[in-house]
Amino acid sequence: MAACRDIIIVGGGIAGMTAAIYAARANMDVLLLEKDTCGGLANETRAVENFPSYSTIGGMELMERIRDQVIGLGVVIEEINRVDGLITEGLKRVMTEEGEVEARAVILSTGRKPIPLPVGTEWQENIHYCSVCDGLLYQGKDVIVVGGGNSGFDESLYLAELGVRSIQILEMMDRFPADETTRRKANAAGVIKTRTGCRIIDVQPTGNRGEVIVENLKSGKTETVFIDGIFVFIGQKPNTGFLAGNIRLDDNGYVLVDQRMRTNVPGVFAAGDVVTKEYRQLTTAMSDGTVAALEACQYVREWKKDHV
Amino acid sequence: MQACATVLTTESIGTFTTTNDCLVLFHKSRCPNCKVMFKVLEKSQQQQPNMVFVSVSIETEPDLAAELEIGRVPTVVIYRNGKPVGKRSGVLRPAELVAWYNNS
Ligand SMILES: Cc1cc2nc3c(=O)[nH]c(=O)nc-3n(C[C@H](O)[C@H](O)[C@H](O)COP(=O)(O)OP(=O)(O)OC[C@H]3O[C@@H](n4cnc5c(N)ncnc54)[C@H](O)[C@@H]3O)c2cc1C
Repeated sequence: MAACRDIIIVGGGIAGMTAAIYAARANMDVLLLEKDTCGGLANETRAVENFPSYSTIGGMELMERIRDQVIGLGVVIEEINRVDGLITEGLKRVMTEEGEVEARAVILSTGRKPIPLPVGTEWQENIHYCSVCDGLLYQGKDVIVVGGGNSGFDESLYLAELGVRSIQILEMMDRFPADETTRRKANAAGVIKTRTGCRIIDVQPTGNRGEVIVENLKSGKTETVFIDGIFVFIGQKPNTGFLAGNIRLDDNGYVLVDQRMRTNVPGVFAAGDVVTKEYRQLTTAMSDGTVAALEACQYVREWKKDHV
Repeated sequence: MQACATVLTTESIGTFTTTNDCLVLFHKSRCPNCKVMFKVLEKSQQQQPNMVFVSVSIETEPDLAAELEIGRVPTVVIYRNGKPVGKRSGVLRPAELVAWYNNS
């Protein structure tokens, strides 16, 4: 096994990268493990407009700048290396796709992933979670966007710009969670229709298209809609499956931490969207990452004093 | 986005794929999953250095993408003796990609 690290950070979104900056500047030996590429959810945000210092910047560009800064500080980043388990007795042992690594402290910053459409179907090929990746398939075609939050409306606008012929946004609640400005922009696009108080209960392939049964939640009546594809933006769930009972989670699977970002296990800290909290934004994830790193550094210094 | 893989165009793909068995990654800018697949291919190449991987941007080569019916990105196409013998879209893990390449 490789030499024991001071701190292993699991997850290279903005929370993990911020923690890496602080820990590296405190002279810690830091390894950052990332299952995909650094940047996390922000890589999917076309324009970030509330990040202090840039009035507008592409999410991916912002994340690449932060990643460069992390590398410049000597942090070892291993991308495309998923963490599958954590053993917390004594030194922390982190199980990855490529083997096992050890550290004195661990920071969990694994964020969240999209909630899949809660309807079983054989039409999976036409159900999508990324409009930049798959939107082009639907030029001149008809799609349903599930979820009436800001993501649902923003992504619909993008699909409209790509030349999708018609877009129906379906929202379960009886009002749209998206803010007024975003909704107004979507209405102006001309090809976006919106409906509240309804949900998809069945999706079946029929010829080249999909037959979708939409239920009106008030009346219970159903309606059949024929479309070419479905884009799903109904929120996120935490990436904590790999923690397997070691770390205390809340009922929704988020990591429980105190104000100093400490979990129930000494030497294991958590930061960013993966923890139980009210506001999940880039700036709040950075704040968590900062606190988790400063606490982890303190923990490692004490550990070293006790183990000379 | 990534400069490391040889970039092919409508003009060069034919000659390149007849002289090299390879994996072609079709991608576009600002596509998060394409960024991931570039890294997956780089990592897979470390495991299997004889594997050749090249890329095509569907933004600069839309006609080629249309001809090969590439709608989703990332899409990887395996070429052997100048012929496409396998095509997969979405993100794959390196082990999955290497196994697929070796079995195609
Ligand atoms: C559509 C959308 C738009 C948004 N727009 C804005 C905005 O404009 N402004 C703003 O401030 N906030 C915005 N947010 C919120 C913001 O993106 C998040 O709060 C922030 O990205 C959280 O950062 P994070 O580092 O905690 O998690 P993430 O960004 O989710 O990063 C977590 C990382 O951990 C990795 N990971 C997961 N599991 C493992 C594992 N087992 N092993 C290794 N790595 C793993 C993931 O691949 C990922 O890279 C938006 C969110 C969404 C969904």
